[in-house]
Amino acid sequence: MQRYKTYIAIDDTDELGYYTSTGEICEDIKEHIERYYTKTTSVTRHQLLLHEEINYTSHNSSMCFTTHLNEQELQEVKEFVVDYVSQKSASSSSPGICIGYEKDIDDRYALINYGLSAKKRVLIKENAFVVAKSQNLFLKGWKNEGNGVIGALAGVALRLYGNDGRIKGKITLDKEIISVKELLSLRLFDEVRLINCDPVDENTSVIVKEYLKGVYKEHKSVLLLEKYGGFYKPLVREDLQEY
Amino acid sequence: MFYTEGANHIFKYGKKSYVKAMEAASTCKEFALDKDEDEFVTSVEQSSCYNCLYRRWSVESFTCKQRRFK
Repeated sequence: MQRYKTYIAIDDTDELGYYTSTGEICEDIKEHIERYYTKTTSVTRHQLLLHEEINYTSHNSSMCFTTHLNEQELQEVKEFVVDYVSQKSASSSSPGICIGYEKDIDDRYALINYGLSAKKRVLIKENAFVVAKSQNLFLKGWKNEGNGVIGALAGVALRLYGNDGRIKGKITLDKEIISVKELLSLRLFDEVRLINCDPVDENTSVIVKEYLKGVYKEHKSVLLLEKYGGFYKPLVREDLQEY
Repeated sequence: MFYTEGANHIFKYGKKSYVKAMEAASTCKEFALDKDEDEFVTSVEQSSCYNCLYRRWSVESFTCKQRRFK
């Protein structure tokens, strides 16, 4: 059976002070798929609207990754994700999951607009189900009000958009100075860019005092750098809040 | 460091006052690092309310859901 590109997103699984997070649950699902089915891509974290009318725990973000599954595998993965998120999510949370094939999305621009609107406006879950149905995506919410469906659908939409969010996780190197050329050869990121959009000189060295963290741009994992004397340095957490 | 609105303690200094956020954490009995490292917004060498499990971000700043002074 042929495998197709599949999007998997989850949202709203924790509560204040809970022992795990949506990001960790997403990583667990990804690990399960890698163990029993096939490779997956990096998880992206998508920041949604911060607003007092939205009942998020601390930061209102959703998580998404992609993989390739055939129809039987897709069904099995859906069942696994529903069971796993049910077990691991906090009792007061409102988890939502969204899963589907890219090939089945009816109007990618309409879906992307939905994702972008979740960053700007307060949305209602009833509309999320309407959008998901029209786009042939599996969307499920449960426990409490099930409002996580909004973020889960937005997660798929923003990943499909390809220009939103940070790559989950960070990378540490065993040395503090590395040239751009060598960094690219490690294939840790699809691309390296300067934040001011100047062309990157591959022979210039990057000073890595702490870690490397990527963002998602043009469907690629991108490491953003800034000039630092005659060197470059990577953007770190404080610099990446807007992504 | 905080003002109150009903039961909410809202950090006065917004999202980029890194030193003030560390000072606030140093006087709090309930500080706990967020369980998800991806949600840290600053270095973890020193405790900062910006990385605390009990902060809830808003557009301008964050609300502390647990604050108790040492």
